[in-house]
Amino acid sequence: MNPTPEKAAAMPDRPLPAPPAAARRRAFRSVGELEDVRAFATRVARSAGLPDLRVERVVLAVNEVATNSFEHATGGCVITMWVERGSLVCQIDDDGRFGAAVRVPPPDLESRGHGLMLVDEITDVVRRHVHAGGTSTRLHFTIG
Amino acid sequence: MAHPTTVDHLLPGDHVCWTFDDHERHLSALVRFLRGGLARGEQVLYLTDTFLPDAFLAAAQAYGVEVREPERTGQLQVTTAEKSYLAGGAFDAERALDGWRAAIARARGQGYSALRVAADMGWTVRATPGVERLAWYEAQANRIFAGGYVMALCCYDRRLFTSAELDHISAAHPATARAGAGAHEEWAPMLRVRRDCEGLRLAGAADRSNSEALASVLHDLVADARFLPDGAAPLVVDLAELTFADTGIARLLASAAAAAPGRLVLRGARPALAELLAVIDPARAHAACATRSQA
Repeated sequence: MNPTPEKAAAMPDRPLPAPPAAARRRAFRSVGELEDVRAFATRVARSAGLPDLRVERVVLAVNEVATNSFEHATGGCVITMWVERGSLVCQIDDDGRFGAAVRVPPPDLESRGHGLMLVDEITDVVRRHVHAGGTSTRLHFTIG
Repeated sequence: MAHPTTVDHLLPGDHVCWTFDDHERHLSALVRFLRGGLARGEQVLYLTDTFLPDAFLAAAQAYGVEVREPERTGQLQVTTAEKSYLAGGAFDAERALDGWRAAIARARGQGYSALRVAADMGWTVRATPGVERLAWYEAQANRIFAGGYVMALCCYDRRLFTSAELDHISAAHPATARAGAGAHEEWAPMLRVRRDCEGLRLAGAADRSNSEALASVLHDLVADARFLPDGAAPLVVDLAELTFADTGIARLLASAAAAAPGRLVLRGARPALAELLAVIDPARAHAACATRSQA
């Protein structure tokens, strides 16, 4: 588990290249569907060959970003997952524009528990792009 | 709407937000629910906001459930929301919670193995004083239901609530049977919360959709832990069967343990949750991974 918030925050906010056509994609609307979000992420992460504990990290991270979408965006979120150059990539797109603000590391220990900060800690690389239509968050997990 | 068979998967101690949008299947679920309770020697209570009590009883009889004798003995009671929740003309959340405690004491006193309650919640959309405390009430009710004696089926008509309202209310329940639940695959409550003299047992998954329910029970547990006499065994939150917890839940658990140091401890966290607790509260994370027997 590499603490990578600084690394993530240092990533320039540039448009992300489009996911491949073969990526798995599903839309979710509300927190009531988090169980389905997790089932979807679990299936794709397992089929990508990740070991159990890493599958659980993927599920935790995707669940967290999706929860954030349900709370701050109005139209739910779309989750897209695929394998690319030895990594499992999960992209969460929503119509909210809060992504950039929460990347600043919190000053005190109490807020270390902030969900998205924890996502940065358990994910190998996090890239966020805030654009006119909302926010795209891309999580990379190294396979193997 | 949730499939009528979902009610077959409930156990005493479960508190479920059950959604429906058609009265035929609502009726079918209620009949299954009361048939199961009567067969198990439980007391069955139905607080209806949908049917006239006599009409409901006649319908249950027509579905093949013998209701006359249990109704005569008091094993089965069907009454309206007006005569129960709103007996004083307004919704008084505290009085309703006290009412559950009294109903549990009566049912136990009469030797029933459990108290099974179905409640139609449609009355909450009418202009009723006190109804703004509904989500608070539902969250508090978990403290009572987690005792493991009551099985509570809160029936919410999806046509009467916005999806935001339903999300808010369902977060106060450990589990929700949503549209489509049980239609294609077997449904089970997402989270089971059980409270006993040793502490709390959590089984299933906890996330933003049921966090209010868990927060309320943990709050109660912290208060009890603080009143433990010095040297008493700590209250334990048994996490061994908690298969998923998001970061908010992990934070809730870590804060509860930190609020009553040495008097409330986390045990049995699975690897993913243990990892999360280690990031949130490194000092206590080690103990949280220990199993209950090591404690």
